[in-house]
Amino acid sequence: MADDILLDVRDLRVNFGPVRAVDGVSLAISRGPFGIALVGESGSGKTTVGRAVLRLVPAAGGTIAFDGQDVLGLRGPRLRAYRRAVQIVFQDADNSLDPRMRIGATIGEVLAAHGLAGHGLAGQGLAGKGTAGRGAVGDRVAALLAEAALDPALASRYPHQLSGGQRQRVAIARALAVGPRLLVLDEPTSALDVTAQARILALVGRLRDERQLAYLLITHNLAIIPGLCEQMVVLYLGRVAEAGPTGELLARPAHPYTLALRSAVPEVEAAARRSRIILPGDTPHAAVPPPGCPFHPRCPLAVEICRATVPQPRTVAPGRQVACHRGDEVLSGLRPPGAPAQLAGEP
Amino acid sequence: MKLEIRDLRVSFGGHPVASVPELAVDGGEIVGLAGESGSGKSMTILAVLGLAETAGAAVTGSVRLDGQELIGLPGARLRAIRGARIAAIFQSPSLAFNPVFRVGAIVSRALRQHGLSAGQARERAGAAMRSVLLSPDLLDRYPAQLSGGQLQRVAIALALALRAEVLLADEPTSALDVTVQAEVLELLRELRDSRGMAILFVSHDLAVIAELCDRVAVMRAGKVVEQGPTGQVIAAPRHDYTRELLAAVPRLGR
Repeated sequence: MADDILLDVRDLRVNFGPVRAVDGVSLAISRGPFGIALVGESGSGKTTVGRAVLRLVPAAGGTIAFDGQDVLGLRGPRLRAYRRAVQIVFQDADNSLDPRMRIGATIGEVLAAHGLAGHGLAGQGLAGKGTAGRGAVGDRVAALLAEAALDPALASRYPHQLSGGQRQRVAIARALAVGPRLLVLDEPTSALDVTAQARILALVGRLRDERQLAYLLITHNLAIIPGLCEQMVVLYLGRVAEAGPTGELLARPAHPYTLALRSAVPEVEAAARRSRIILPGDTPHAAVPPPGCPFHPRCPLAVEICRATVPQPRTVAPGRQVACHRGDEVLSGLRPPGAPAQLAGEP
Repeated sequence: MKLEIRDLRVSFGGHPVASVPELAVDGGEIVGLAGESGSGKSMTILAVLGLAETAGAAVTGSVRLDGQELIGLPGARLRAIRGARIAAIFQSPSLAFNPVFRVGAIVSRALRQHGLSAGQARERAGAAMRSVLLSPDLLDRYPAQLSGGQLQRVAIALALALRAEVLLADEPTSALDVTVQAEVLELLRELRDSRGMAILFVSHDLAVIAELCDRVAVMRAGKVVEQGPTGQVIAAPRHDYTRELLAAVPRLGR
């Protein structure tokens, strides 16, 4: 069982000064092809989890293991090797591509930085010909662009000459350049039109099978998860609200927050629309977390215990954890009567 | 009709970027304008606001507010209408607020621009904040201290405080979390139903349009390719592009 796990995050904590941005998050990512979604609103800590996995922000506690190896203690060449194995695609390709570099140079730079510009690419899972030199890099860049469903001729263009969807595909091609086993996709489509989004998601699905990729898909939109992710983890204010297999969790949420997220998805067909649960206000700031359950001030089902006691994650069904005092009731069909009225910004 | 667009053409250096033969929005109605980036939706909005020319575009055709022609109206008369009778909200509310002023100062400056006294402005701003379910206390904060959803609601509150009859909403929820989007959509419905506002709502997402809009016009490459009651267009799209947009919408049940 444990052999199936590629990345194992346990009780991860990340602090920014006194702020507990990530407060005890655990999740396990199987070897690819495998997708897991990390879901939550702005301020939930989902991006910080992704960055901590890449060692872009330091963890204050917990463990991260990749292939059974401790990640948090990695240094030097082993950290570099880890960063070849785990790559990230950011939300905003406008800001993650250097505007002064042509697309080909942007991707070629990654190959050079990891010493992949010359020999030995076959072992990295790249379609290299084994020959060194500029021509070989050009070929590799062309192959990567083609793999991301882009015209290889785009290598000579600058980022501003591309559409948002094309730029995001360049970011994916660049991530693939080093032959990663795990991709962290941080809101890869939320800056895009639905049509460009659909193409990016289809690309992720194809790469998953062709490259046997595992990925952590960070998103606020539940609708893009089915079909791409076997598992999902719902975050609220740095903690796991609910986790489990995607199909079951979406069909029968056990946390009122998941219910609200599900009901917020706009649906084309009137029949698919669920009664909408409008959450009052925004996610509270992690600097001043409310006492008790962090979700209780916005929760339409909150009762006395929710205001006083922090709910601990527990198993409510096989493979399903929820941190809610009323998780069992919600799982059995308890629904909020209607949206509570409260002015956002009022104490 | 509250707002009537006829034979509107926007072009840059002879290249047409938006062409709308006919589009009307009545009071108490939300009309959607759907399409991808570059389809000409935002240019249509800017032309209605009389701002396309300032971006270097040539505009011909007719835009009428309660029968009054706006195209070609002198700047001063247009400024009296823009903001006060026709308000607009945009995709990125954080760009719409000057970061160095408190939110209340920005709101009250806009209200005084349209002839309200300082006292009236304060009173109207507070009441408008309450009607978008925000505490008036937020007026004392700086834009960076508010979330994207809160700022978008302040932008709507400003339109309410000015008693705008028409609201042009250009992708107002595309940068927001789905939960916050749901709140803003609910608010727009209420403006339509209880205040009889005429709302032109631009979006690339047909699911959002399906939930919100009474009628919809689909734009592609600067042209309206299909329009009609939203239910009909969604249930039986006549143009391939509309079908393509529909197919792209992610669905939970899939």
